Amino acid sequence: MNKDIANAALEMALKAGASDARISLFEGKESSIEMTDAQVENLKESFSSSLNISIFTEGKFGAFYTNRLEKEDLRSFIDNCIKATRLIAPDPFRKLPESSLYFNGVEPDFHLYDPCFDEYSFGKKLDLLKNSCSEIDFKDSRIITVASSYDDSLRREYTISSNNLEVFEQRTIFAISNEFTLRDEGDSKPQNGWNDGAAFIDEIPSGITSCGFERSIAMLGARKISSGKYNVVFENTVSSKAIGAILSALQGSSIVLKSSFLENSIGKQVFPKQMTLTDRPHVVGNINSSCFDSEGVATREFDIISEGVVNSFLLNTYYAGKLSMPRTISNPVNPCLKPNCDFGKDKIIRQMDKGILITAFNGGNTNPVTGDFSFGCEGFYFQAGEIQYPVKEMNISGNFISLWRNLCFIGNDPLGFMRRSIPTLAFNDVDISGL
Amino acid sequence: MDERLEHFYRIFGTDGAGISQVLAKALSNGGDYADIFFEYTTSNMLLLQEGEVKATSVESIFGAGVRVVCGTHTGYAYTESTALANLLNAAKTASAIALSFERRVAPVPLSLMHCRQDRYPVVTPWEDISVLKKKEVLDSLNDAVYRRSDAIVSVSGRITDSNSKILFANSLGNLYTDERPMAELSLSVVMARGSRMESAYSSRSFRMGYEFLSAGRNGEGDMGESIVEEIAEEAVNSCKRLFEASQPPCGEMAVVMGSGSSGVLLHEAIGHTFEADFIRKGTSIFSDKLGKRICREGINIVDDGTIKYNRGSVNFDDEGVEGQKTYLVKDGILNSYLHDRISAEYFGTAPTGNGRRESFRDMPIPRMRATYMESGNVSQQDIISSVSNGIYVDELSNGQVQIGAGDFTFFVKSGFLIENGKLTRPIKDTNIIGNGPAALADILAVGNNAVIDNGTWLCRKGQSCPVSCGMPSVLVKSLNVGGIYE
Repeated sequence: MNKDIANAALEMALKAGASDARISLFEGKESSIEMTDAQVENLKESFSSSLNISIFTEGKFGAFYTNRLEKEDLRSFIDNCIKATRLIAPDPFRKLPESSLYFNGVEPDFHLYDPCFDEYSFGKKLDLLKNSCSEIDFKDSRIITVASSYDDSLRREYTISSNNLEVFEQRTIFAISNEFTLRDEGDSKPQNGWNDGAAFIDEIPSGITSCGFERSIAMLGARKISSGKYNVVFENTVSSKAIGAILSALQGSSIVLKSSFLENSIGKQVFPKQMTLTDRPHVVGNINSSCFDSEGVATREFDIISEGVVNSFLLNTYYAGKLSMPRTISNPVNPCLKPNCDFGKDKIIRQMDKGILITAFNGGNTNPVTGDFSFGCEGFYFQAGEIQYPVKEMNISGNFISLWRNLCFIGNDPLGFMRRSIPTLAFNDVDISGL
Repeated sequence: MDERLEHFYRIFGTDGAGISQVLAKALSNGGDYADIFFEYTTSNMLLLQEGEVKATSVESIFGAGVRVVCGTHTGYAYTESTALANLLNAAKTASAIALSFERRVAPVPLSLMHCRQDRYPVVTPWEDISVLKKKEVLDSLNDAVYRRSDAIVSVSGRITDSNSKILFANSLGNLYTDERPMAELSLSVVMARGSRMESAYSSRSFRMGYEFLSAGRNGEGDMGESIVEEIAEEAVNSCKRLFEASQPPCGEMAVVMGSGSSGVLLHEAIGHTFEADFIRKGTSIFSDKLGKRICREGINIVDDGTIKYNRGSVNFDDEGVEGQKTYLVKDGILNSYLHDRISAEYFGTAPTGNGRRESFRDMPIPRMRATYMESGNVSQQDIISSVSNGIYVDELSNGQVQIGAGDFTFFVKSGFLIENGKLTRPIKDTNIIGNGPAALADILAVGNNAVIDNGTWLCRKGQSCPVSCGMPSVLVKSLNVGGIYE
């Protein structure tokens, strides 16, 4: 990575009149192999580099992006950015973080960077995908077609600022995914699949294709179910849906714009006592782990919600200043729910006895101001603690605060290779729309 | 030489000889077809919050992508430097797909194509408009909102303009240049009544220059109609109505889709499942329905890349095919799928101009443009009167579809219950699910009021593309409505 580009950009910004600036230089390498029915269909390879430039001048702020990194292109781009920034209104809260907050140590080894990334040949990647595909018999009469892919990426990010920030991070990801299209009743061709991966090529788990096949076969013959109030279990593959709207409502931008159903929630018992949501940014092996956030500020473990009480909003420097509250982080690195039991999905289903296990969502949305939601979903009907049959074309509706008040279980089974690792969750008395 | 072509050659630091060399390199291992797509896009955004324009952003994206096609197989690579050495390197990478194929073609000498009609001519380019002028637009938007209600709690507005300079060439000898403008104005308002809060959103987008601001609802240049006033009116009125609304009772029921944004139903239920990459792979529920009746006589559904100034319009698509109007359904019969070059070649038909991509970083795939249903002959009032128990929906946002199963969803921001042929209680925040073929067959009436919704619709299919959608009022016999179990 040519860090001189970032240093030159910072110098140009300050020379052109910025009172402060933060520069992030990104470099990325990606490759992908897509197969249809175990035959190569698409190959793609790319290398990219770009700059994110934050300009602070005369109390005003602008954010800029360019991938034209030749010196003269960059100089004229930055000059124009500063001119544009000067024409908008000042905002006293737009400033860089205090330098004492920056991460300035040596990042521990989170086991997230494979130094051999550039050495892996196309043949090795293709073999990995072919080996995964060999886990199942493609001649199974239920299969119409199988789309499989191998993807890898290397991402490097170097960030500096005019008040002495200097941080560097590099991450690699290797993943295999699949989608099965199967024959079902009538014209229906249901599609399901699976994806998994790791930060090191040799740690990609086996069984990805067979897992996708089993999950797909299990949904054959899915039927509609009667409308009613049900016990509902969110499988750990989709359970992050239950906290996504909460995290969004706690963000500084939502609070400042009064577009949040949690606007006046600090210090209040909004959620059940069993719910503790903690950001754990330093977990070795978690693909999201990082010692610093997007402003370069050192990350730390903290409770966002503690025993149902909302502890803090999600605030970067700007929103913390506007709300006169302590700075936290705008996007939690690795939000974790504390389990309220020592078991996962299977036992939760047994404990809930009868209800619906949701394994996929299909569309829907949340009203950010009220917390009302309505999502399409599918999964399985279970009775006497056992899966009975697959169900589809359902809507789950309600309000996120009410939903969490009906919490029964927070499992102990979060998955690793996810943007948010949330375990299986169970709620009672949930509105399901069906027949 | 063509002056405009020379200008584009200068921007990308290339020329006809260099491009021909890259295409030859791309096909050096064999293959049926190769193309190169140069792009230079700049976009500018101003953000209004708390009554002032306090943030700005600019993006500049530059590069070129090289594609090699062998039958249905594709090799793709891109570079952010358009120096010949880097282009040749990208071509070499993309050509790897052809190593196991024997077919060989030589690139045809390049010939400049001219578009028969420019679908997005610009009167005043955005680059001639100062930040101050754009700031005035957002200030007037803020005023227009506050003028309409004293219950406003917060206003957030955004004006975005962008321009993409495209230079394209392929091994068939097609060479074109295109400038693609895009303008967007969007608004979110939050209002309070007692302790209750509600929010609403409205937006407008056209492929236009600064004249966009007086383009009116349909973008047809009916100067004088202010987009600023229109979207302020829409958002404030919509928000006021939500205070009276609640989630509907749940279950299967008749749904009257209001005109305009209901077109998202077509986008999800039909558009995606007609994209011919899914048809080619046999994964779409409509894969074997070409020429067959899929809905009532008289129903016509179109995907159109030729509407002047429309967000989804293309002079040429991203693989050198001129924009066109495609009837997906004609008089109830499935008339055509949406083809890129690969699927058209596979099916032995002509491409329909639907090969689109998000940027030079992506390979083109079949994508929609403006998808709408043509008007029928029933009034909306008559349609509503014919329903004894159901809902009427008129503000929709996001949607999704499962291509193979055909199950689609769309989210309803607001509407009304229909009881005994009359609109009664306002409803909101409900997700609706249906099955594409069943819902199409269940269309019982088509209104005489087709409208294209010119909001900031974005279609995601691994990569994003601007689109639009439209619909007359339509009665669907039965759909699954999310809500409260009573």
